[in-house]
Amino acid sequence: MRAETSRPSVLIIAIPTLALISAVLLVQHYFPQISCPIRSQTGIDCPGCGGTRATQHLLKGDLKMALHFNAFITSGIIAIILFSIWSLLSKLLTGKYTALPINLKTACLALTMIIVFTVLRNL
Amino acid sequence: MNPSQPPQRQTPSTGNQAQPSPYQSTPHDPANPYPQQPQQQQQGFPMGPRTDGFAITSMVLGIIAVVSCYFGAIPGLIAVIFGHLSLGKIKKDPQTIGGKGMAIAGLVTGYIGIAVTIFCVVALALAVNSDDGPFSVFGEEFQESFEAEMKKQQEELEESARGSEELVPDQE
Repeated sequence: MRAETSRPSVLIIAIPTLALISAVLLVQHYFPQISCPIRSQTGIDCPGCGGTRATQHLLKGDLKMALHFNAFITSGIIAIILFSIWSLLSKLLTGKYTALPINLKTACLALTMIIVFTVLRNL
Repeated sequence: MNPSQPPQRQTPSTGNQAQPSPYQSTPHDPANPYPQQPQQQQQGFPMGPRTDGFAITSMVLGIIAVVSCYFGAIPGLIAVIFGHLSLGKIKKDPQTIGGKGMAIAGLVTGYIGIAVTIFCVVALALAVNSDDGPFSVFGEEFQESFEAEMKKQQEELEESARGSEELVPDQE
C-alpha cells in the first residue's frame, strides 16, 4: 500500500536519527577508544554495538567494513537516506510526500529483525 | 446450604459488569464522527479510528532506544512519555483515536532502553569502588588511553608551572 501525506513524515524521522548519529560520532571523536559498558562487562554485543564504527566507515565510503561492524545499522541508515530521497522526489513530481509505512506490523517486523540479528551475532 | 451460595455471589457480579457498559458507550458518540471522517477519506484510510501521532512517535523512538545501546535512555524516556500520553488519550476516547498497540510497543521498547542505560550506570557505579578503576567499564583500551591522557596533562601542568616560575625572575 502506497499512502501519500502532505506532512514530511520522513524528515520528522530522518532528522532526529541523523542528529543522534552525529552526536554519537562527536563523542567518538573525543573519546576514540570508548567501549560500550555492556560489552566490557558482559561480553554481549547488543543490537547497536559497532554502530559508530560502521557509521564512520560508511561516511568514508567503505561499505564492506561498515556492513562488517554492524550490518543492521548500516542498512538502516541507507534505507532512511534512500526513502528520504524517494519521498522528496515524489513531493517534487506529484506534490505529496510518500508516507512512511509505519504501523504495528512493520514495527513487529523491525523488532523481530533486531532480535534475530542480536542472537545471530552473539552465537 | 453450600450449593445455594455460589449463585448468590454470581448474580451481583454480573450486575456489576452490566452497569459500566452504558457509561462507556454514551460519551462522545454523537459529536465525534463528523470532524474525523473527511480527514480519513483524504488520507486514504477507509474505516476505523485514526492512529494517534503520539503512539507512532513513541514506537519509533522506542525502537531507536533499543538499538542505541548505552544511551538508550534519551530516546527511551521520550518514548515512555509519549506512550503514556497516547494511552491516556486513547483511554479517554477509544472510538476515534487508535494505535493502542503502537503505544504499548513504544512503552515496552522505551522501558527496555532505559533499563539498559540503568545497567550501564550501575556498572559504572560498581566500577568506581573496584580495583580496576572507574573507567574500566568503557574497556581496557579506553582506560589505557585515558590514563595516558591524564599523565600527559599532568606533565603539561607541571611544565607550565615551571615556565611561570622562570618568567618571574626575567621580569625583575
